[in-house]
Amino acid sequence: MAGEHKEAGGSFWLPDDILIDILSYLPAKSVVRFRAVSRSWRAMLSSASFVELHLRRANRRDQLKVFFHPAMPTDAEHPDKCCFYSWQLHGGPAKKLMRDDFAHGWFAAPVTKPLRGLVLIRSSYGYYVLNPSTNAVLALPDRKFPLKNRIDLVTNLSGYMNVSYGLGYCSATGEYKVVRLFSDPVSGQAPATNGEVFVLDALACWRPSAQQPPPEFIFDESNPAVFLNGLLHLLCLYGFDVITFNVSDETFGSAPPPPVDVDEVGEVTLTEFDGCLGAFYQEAHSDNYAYHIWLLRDHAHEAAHWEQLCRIDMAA
Amino acid sequence: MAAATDDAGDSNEMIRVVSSDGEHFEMPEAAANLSLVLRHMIEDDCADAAGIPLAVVAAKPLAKIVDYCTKHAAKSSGLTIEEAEELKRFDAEFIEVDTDMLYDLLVAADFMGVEGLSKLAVQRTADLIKGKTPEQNRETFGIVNDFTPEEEEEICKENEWAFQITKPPSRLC
Repeated sequence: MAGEHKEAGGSFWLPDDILIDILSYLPAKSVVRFRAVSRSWRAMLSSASFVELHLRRANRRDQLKVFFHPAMPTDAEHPDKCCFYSWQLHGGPAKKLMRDDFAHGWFAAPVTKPLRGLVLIRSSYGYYVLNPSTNAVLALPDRKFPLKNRIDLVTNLSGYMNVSYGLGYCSATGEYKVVRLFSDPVSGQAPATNGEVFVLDALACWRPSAQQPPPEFIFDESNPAVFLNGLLHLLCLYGFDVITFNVSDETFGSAPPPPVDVDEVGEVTLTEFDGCLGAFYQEAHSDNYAYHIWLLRDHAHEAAHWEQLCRIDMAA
Repeated sequence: MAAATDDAGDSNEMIRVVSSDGEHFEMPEAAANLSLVLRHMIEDDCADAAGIPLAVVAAKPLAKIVDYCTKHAAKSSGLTIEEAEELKRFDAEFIEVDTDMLYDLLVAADFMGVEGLSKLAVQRTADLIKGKTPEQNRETFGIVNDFTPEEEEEICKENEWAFQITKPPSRLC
């Protein structure tokens, strides 16, 4: 009988699998705190398998969350700092996650959707990877941009090369990789090394990617790479070609370009919808704000094709 | 209509179970099927008039589990939004139990393989302990602190943010 496991003093003993199950439903903050309970709890709560389980539980389909950052500081106590928030549908008010200590009240915004709890952030001061659950922030080194502290970069003044960033995860090795691809829109000449990789928790420097991206494509900072199924997807300027970068073996490939007319549509943005590569754009030449959303079906197969998901008319 | 007749046929069949302390319970077969263990027993023709003995589940939690399964089996498929809401309310009230019962439900639902109930009890336990300090958790789960004071201080310092508990710890446990 269950009661036999209960000890005097009101404490109770649970089999490991039930205990792990319970702990996997805890908020990240509690998990980190409970690593101080005992050695065995610390080992269990730090293990790769637990972290994996916790991520799955935290990202259940019925628990969709929005991660965002207001444009203006919102914390009266720290008017010079911005906060990140997470908000859940039907989950009450938005939850404050942390203060950013890297934007100093200036512009800072998530570049990518959270990837296994990590987010790539662009601030006026450069690029950062942060873990909003643990408050850990890593500033990425920037040797190609010695002037990265200058605000000029935000406006991407001529003289600088275009760059597009992305954050990917290699499930085979458990490595997170930040990837950046440079291109020169003025001369069309790519630099000798225009694809670089930064592995988190490894050598603190950028290194050339194993394979270099095809030089004829122009990337842009406003089109960050979208990570999906082991591949980073980058939309190229002038033609909407989609280049893929395999985060594991660091090779390049391509995906079908979204079927939009370059002359009709000003800007297309790639994103991830429901496990599919998605693209959305605003209808050009129209006074009402209407958006088109497309999905790439059967992504990994020969039969990959774009399918229009919906048209959202903001006026309607 | 054939499906409806089948459903009615299933739920007419009552399954008897016997708790570890010898109490008898009855529930429709559809309800018993929510337990993996009972379903296998029924499939293997082990369900007879004497009842299926559940050697590690006492009468008190078993009564709750029979309640849970009966309610959920009656509303298993094709729920309207209102019915889903009602089931949610039922679950919320159902799991408002004291620590002893919660513990018994955790163990019994796991043993009997009642997935929905396991999840409900696990989530409830997580909600109860999430605001607690490490020391309170050691008491709850009967764990000995095997860190040296220096190690413990270091862990707390490393993750200072995680130790700022804003909410008072929840009641129970």
